[in-house]
Amino acid sequence: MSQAFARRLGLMMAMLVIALLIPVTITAESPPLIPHTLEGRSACLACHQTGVAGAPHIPADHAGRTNDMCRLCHQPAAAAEAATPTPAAPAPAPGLVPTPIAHPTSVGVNSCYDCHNQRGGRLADIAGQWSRSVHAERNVGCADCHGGDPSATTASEAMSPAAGFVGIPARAAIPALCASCHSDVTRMRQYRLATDQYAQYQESVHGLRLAAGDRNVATCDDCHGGHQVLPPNDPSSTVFPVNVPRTCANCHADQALMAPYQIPTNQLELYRDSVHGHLLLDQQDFRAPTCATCHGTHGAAPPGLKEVADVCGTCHSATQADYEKSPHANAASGPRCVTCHRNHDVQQPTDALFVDAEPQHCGACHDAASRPGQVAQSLYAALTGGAQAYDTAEGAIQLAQQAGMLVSPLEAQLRAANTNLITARAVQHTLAVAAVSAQTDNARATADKVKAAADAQVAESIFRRQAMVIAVAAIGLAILPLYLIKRELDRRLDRER
Amino acid sequence: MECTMVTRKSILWRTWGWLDDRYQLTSLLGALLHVEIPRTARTYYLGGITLFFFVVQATTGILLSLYYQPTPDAAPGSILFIMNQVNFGWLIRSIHSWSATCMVLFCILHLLRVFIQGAYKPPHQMTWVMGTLLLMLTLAFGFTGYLLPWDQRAFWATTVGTEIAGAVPFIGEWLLAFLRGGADVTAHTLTRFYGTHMLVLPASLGAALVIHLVFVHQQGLADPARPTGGRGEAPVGAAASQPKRRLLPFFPNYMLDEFIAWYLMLAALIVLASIYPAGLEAPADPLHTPEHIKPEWYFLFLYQGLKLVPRTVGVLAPFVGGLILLVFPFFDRNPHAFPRRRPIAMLVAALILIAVVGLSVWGSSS
Repeated sequence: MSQAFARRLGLMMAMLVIALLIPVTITAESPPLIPHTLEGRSACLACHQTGVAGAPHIPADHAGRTNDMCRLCHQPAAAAEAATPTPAAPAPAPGLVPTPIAHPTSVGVNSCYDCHNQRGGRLADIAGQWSRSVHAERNVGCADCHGGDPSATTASEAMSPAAGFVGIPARAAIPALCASCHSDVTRMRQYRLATDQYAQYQESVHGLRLAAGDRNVATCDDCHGGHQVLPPNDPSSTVFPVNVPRTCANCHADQALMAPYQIPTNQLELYRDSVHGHLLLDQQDFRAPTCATCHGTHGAAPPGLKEVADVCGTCHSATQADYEKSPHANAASGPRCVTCHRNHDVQQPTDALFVDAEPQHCGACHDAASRPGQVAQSLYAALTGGAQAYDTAEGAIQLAQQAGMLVSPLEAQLRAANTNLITARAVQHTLAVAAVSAQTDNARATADKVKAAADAQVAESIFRRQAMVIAVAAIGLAILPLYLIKRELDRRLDRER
Repeated sequence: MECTMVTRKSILWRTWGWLDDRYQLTSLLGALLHVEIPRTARTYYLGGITLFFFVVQATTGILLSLYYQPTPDAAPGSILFIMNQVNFGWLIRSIHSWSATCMVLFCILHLLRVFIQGAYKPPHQMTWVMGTLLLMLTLAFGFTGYLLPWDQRAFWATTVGTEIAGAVPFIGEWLLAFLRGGADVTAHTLTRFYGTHMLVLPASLGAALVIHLVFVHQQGLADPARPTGGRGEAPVGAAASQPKRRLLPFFPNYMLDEFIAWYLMLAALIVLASIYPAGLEAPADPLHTPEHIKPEWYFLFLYQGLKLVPRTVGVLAPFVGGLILLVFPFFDRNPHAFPRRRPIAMLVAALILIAVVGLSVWGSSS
């Protein structure tokens, strides 16, 4: 082999190695792709600076970079090789109602149910589920979904294609099958049911993916049940408010199922420990939101809003109005509700949010010496001062009550202080120290007055017991001469008699 | 020279003399006070103590009525006013509350004492009848007075109590409407109970008390230490058969003992009122039933008993029991007064006492 050939061969080998390594190095060094849509999520630091909802923290070497710099390096996953592309929504024809399955009708006869029920096992279970459903009450029978002839007495006749039998519907066909009745305004009017579920579903993530060929997404029967469909206000229904989190978690807590979509699977676990979860699942308080309240139902989109992070104000409207007056709402990358309060695992907020530099705390973004940091300190001082005065007054009332005093007028007065404190905690979202202090100062003044009155009651109780000793001593002094007189009279009587 | 000194009587004596000339007070009081009491009768004070508590109730009740307003809207506020604003209002109300409990307690103790010592036996049967009526009137005082604060406890305890009356066979519906002044406990019930508590019951109890004391005075007290013989027909007046040394003059000896006992009871009332003043719950709310509704302690045995027996039995039992209590002296043929000579009576009394106390304790903890 000549030297020139060897040089050429070595160069080719090196180029081959380099060519093989390039993808690895490029892959190793290229910035992570953005796994979520960007609509309504232009403020990257709002989540990635503090790790809201499990968002990865920005690395230390990114310190000082602003929101508009992120897109210079990080691209959305949909711009590169997409794992699961979301196709554009096909425009549904207005007023289109899918065609119901054509099949012979029968009145009062349902051979499908009779035969399947007799066979026992899984078939009988399914038949039993249907018999307990709202469809059975409304004479929506097996053939309405599966086709066939429910009046026939033999299996071959009942399940013949000529009678319209389709068997188990294809997964992709289920929404249209349900919509063949549930989108029909004329048919649904008597039940006072909405008819826009199918249209909404088609525009949802679930519907779009199903249309693109993804068979893993939810269809109607995944949420509402296949055969045992019950009204949403039935406590046994899978879409009864208390049951909704578990229904959504059937898919969204399945790690294998969610892996291709890179969607976390700990939402139910977080929700269970949240304030909303405790209210709904433990206390059956239906004012608390379920998954559908924030994420929408058939449309899988927050009702009336661009994204879920904006939905809090739907219920917490007063707090939302206060927030919108604050510098946070007007800042380009200011915190949203979820920044401080989290989303699935929202907890009862405490005054501790104002101090320290932990995630979700003011100190995570604002230095203590900065002006915003000082505002945080002032708010903290006002709120904790008011709360402390309230607690002290409450303790004084309890002492007075234990001493046997009647404290209901004091309790009524203290409730006014509590109202001030509640108002202060709502107004704090404006970040206006003067407004918050006005409320907490009122609360403190009322609480101090109540405490003084309660202390006076306790002092009165002590005075009464001291006076009791004096009164009993006086009675004792009165008894003594009577006793002496009595003893003298008895002795005289003994002498006489 | 003669010295004449005229001794002038004090004004008190002259006043007494003026009245005595007109109304023969000396002979009247002599008849009342110069009575002999068996010296061993230490437990005789129980009746006098009950009388003392009644006087306390009357006095404190009149003082409370100066501020109490008997309407649902104003009643709880007027009670709060008495407790927090009126000078010594807390003391008067607390004494009234504790004295009610003590009056019922000592009335029952007095009844037990009379029963155990056989003092109801002939010729004292009617004294017993009047005493039983006095006990029933005292319980009625407690029942009607309990509603007057018109707080949650008062309202719902009265609702349950009058509901029980509605379960009496045949007349239940009428009885319930009569007690409540309508179908439910309302302002009509409050005014009805207030009028009964302030007018009907004091007049009735006062009259029964006078008759009871007249009977006691006329017949004298039965001596527990004196054994009976023959048919048990005791001579009228214990003094008739006792040697003088075993007797004590009512005035001043026995009265001094009573006054000392009354002073001690007054001290006890002041201690109880100071350490455990009367409470007041939230104003009555007909739309909110409390979790636990309990009557006052002297009705607890009925309340608990009703949970154990059929409703009709539970409702009729107190009426039947009361009737038996009233008339049993007329059917007691045992001539003896000593407890040891009356084993069946003692056994029945012990069983009833254990049952009542047991049910009361059970009812208080359930």
